[in-house]
Amino acid sequence: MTATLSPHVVELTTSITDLENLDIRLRADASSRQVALRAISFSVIWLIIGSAFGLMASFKLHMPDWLVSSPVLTFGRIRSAHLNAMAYGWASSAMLGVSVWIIPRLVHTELRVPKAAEAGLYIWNIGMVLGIVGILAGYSDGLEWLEMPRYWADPFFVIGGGLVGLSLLSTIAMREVEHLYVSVWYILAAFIWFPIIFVIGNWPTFSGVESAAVNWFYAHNALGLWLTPVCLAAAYYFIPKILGRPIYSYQLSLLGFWTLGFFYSLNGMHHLIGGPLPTWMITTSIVASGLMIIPVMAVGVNQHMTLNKRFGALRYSPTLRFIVFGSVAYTLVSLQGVFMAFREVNRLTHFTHVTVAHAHLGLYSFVTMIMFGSIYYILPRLLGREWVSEKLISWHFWTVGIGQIVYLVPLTVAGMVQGVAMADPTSTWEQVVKAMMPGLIGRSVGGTLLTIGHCVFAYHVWLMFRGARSRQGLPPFHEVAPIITRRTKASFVSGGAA
Amino acid sequence: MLPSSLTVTLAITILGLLTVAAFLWAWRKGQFDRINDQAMLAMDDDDFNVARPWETVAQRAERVAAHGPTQLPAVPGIWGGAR
Repeated sequence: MTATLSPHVVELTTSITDLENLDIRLRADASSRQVALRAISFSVIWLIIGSAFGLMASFKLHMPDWLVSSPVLTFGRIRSAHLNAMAYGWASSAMLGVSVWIIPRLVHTELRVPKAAEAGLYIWNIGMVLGIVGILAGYSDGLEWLEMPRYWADPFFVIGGGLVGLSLLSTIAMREVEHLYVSVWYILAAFIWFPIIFVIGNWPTFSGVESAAVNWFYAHNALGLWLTPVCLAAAYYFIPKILGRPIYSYQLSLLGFWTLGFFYSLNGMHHLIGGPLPTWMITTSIVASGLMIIPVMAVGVNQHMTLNKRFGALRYSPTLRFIVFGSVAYTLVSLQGVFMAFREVNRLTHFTHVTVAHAHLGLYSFVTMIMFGSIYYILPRLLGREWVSEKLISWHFWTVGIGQIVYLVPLTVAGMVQGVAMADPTSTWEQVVKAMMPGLIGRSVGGTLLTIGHCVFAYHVWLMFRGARSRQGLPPFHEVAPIITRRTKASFVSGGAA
Repeated sequence: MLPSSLTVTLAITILGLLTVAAFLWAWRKGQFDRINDQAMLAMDDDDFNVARPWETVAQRAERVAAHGPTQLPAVPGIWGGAR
């Protein structure tokens, strides 16, 4: 059918199939709307809280006498609060929202038991509050990535995540398509893997060396089997949608998914190289880390080739810009991780700031950037209005983009200097600390830029929720090509290629 | 050495067996059939016929030839229908 819409658009030709697709999407979006909006709200609150903790912890590394009057503000508590607020509060809440929004769209049905998903989201965030308060009060479990109190907070994550997972599994079970798209596989797997690794990681009976082994089994898999799959699912959904072309090789995408499933869980023991564990265990982990090149390159090549000859799209779509940034970071952090697993490299980088930079390249440059991109795509569709300001988006992107470089490069260099200095028996600890100092200050400058970017993003999200309208003459965001600048809009409407 | 490695070995084995079970289920249920068509599962028809400002003339012509006439972007006030 044909309809005249406005002077800007001459004719809109819409087929019956288009309307059916639209109806499916509208029903899917409506069913997940409330849960996704709540999840995005919670995630942005945790982003700001986690950033404040992170910045304080970073400054304390080169200003050790700052904020030491209260035990609550000491480095040990603030740093743990930062990690947990970012990993489980910001990233995981955002992932819950993105998952409940994507799955109904991909399986062409409405979100099932949405009340369970919503209850799960609230329970998860109650666990977050209890966990962060527990850490700040000094009740840390003392295990990396598992600092939140085992009995006060952790059950909330199992129950909350389980309820959201139940809703997603029910939705997938009632699907109206036969095949599962690769994003569905990733999300489905993540919601099955997470409760298993989380319960094992928190099991209270381990001690000594066994506790360290179980801890790193969990901590490494939390990134690889929880955060990574949902973010790759988002990338595999949004990149083709925005570009208007399917992924380059579907076979390659499935290869990436299944090899991640087969190899990743073996990886964690490379964190304990040199520790009192059987050599076969460590070596197996190093070999499995090397095998991770297969899923990593499968994802990297696939996403690059999908974008190939369409790089100009990065100028228009903030979603694409953030997600491609994240996807490139995934390739980089994974390859870096492979090399850091080798004994010769690990000998230098272990116990240094290289590991900290590596973790931020993963959790920030990969996970956080993909979540930003996803929210830029999802929120206008849920609220039914465009983002308010192109400038705020631009400020957000460039502050966090530059902030990451300023954060990661000096910290990585400082970590290498630290590793070399610590390996030198003639170096004193004071010399090692002084050699690291420029990198630590650079980290704080980068962290400040990141925090400014987060505040800009949070303000923009708040404007959206408040109901502010876009200041653009035409919407800066479009269904598929979100940002269309004024200059290119003119050439676009007149039919010229930008 | 066994006590220090037993739990992790069991945990990894559980995850590995789950992945194998899922793979076999997917195989039996035909999830790897018509694999090239599955790439289209993320796409909707209107994803293909909305013009992109970054396209070259050749890319736009190729898309129009494959998927039909081009729509122009949404305008203010029709957001509900533009999803």
